[in-house]
Amino acid sequence: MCRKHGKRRGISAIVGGIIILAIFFATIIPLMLLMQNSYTIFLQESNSRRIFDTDRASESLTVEASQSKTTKDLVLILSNDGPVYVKPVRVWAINVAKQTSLTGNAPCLGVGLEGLPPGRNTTLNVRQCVSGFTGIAQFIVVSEKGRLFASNRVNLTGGQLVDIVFPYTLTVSILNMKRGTTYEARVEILGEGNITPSTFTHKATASNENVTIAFGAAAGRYKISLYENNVLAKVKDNQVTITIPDTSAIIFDLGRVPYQPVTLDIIFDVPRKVFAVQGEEESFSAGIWVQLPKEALEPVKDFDVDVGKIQVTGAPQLSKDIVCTPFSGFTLQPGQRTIAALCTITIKGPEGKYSLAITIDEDAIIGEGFYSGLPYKNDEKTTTVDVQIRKK
Amino acid sequence: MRLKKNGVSYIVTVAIMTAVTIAAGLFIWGIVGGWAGTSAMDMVRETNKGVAQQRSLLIVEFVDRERGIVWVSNPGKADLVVLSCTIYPKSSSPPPKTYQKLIEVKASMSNTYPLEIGSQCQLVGSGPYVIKITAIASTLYNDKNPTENIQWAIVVRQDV
Repeated sequence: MCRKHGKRRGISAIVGGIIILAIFFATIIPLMLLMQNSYTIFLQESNSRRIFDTDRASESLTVEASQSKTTKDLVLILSNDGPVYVKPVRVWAINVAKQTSLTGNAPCLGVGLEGLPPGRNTTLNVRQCVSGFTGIAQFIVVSEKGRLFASNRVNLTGGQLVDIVFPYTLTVSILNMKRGTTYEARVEILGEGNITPSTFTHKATASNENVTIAFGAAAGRYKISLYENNVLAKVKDNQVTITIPDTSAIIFDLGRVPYQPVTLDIIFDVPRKVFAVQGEEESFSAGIWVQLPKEALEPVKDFDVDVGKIQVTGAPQLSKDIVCTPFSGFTLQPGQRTIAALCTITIKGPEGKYSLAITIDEDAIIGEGFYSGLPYKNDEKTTTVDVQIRKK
Repeated sequence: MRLKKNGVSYIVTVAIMTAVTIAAGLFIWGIVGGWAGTSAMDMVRETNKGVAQQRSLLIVEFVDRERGIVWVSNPGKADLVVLSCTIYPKSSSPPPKTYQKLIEVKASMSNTYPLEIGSQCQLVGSGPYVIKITAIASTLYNDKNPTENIQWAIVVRQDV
């Protein structure tokens, strides 16, 4: 009786337990499974995206614009040099200068492009995309995974490749160079571009010489510098940055004043008065100095003195003799002076007072401009010496 | 004899207790089931948003400066709605933008889609430029509230 009684007393507990288990299996377990499933789905998608991104980053395609040897048409050579399959889906043809499509509001090629397994090459004829176009063109190949591969830039004339390598000419003019100085124009490529030659060296053989250099250039940005004896020249707008084809000429004006020769100054170094004895010869020295005026714009070198143009005149009663020793080949800086000739004058005559004139003729002393090579000359100049001859 | 004394049937007692237990159990089951169902739906929605973002990818193929067109395409797995497009100087911070449906870009690389500079793509300042595009999976886009799931949008930024 008691056993029967105990069994009956646990019915509610059993029912409650069944309900708890039912809640657990019908609600909690499915919820956990759903959570696990959702997480798995997200992980799968995340992994899938990661694999896609890895494959996408591994894509490598070389695009080279070239000319078909047989048809002379412009072609694109696509080479898959990466480890994954690349499927080109579109090709854009671009006018580089205007950054616009050459085929209107549509890509150059968009259908029928074959996929490229690793190591495979293919050739696409793009003649119709650039038909009649003159300028610089570039092609962009879009892959199925969304990568963009750009070709080299090509210069086209009427849709055909231009034979010349450089479509533009950059001229650099150097004005008013200094004689004997070495000038070097250097062109540095900033980013994309191509230029030849990249440097040009010139030694000025005359003062104020001008030179213009032509560089073959492709479109791009360049920095142009002028060096004077390997030192950056102090000239306005040196190291200028330009964009070709927007700018195609540069002028470096060194701003030198044209050399003008000045007249050499003559200075006599002679005694004012000379005393002599009647009937006897008397000699005295006369120094002839030359000075380059300080207004001169350059030194003067290689002086040549013509002593035949130095004369002594006056007092016909006296016998006069002049012997000069020239000093040639010297160099004068502006404002500097030096002796050009040393003369010995010998006189003899009757008693009396006389006046002698020592004259140096025009062009007796000639020098050469150091930079300009221009001749520097003297004008005629005379000085007088009083002579008094006494009785014995 | 004792039962008779109390006047309560044992069977009735058991029946009442069992009924109470069942009612309480069903009530708890309902509560737990409701919570579990709501949680499951929220979880599925969030997972779907995460998956949709993982599937979203947009590229700018080419900016046609002369014609004023930005060509975009979708190499991802989810259709996209472009919400904003701005072209601004590279050296400056992006200008303020509003989100609205500009175009829908299908998940297929067989087509490319134009965004007009000026009307659909805001151009400010002077070059060199960068372009910034915000797009969201079309399954997450709410036409009445474009910014509803903006945290699940993708942003494309590249040099022009």
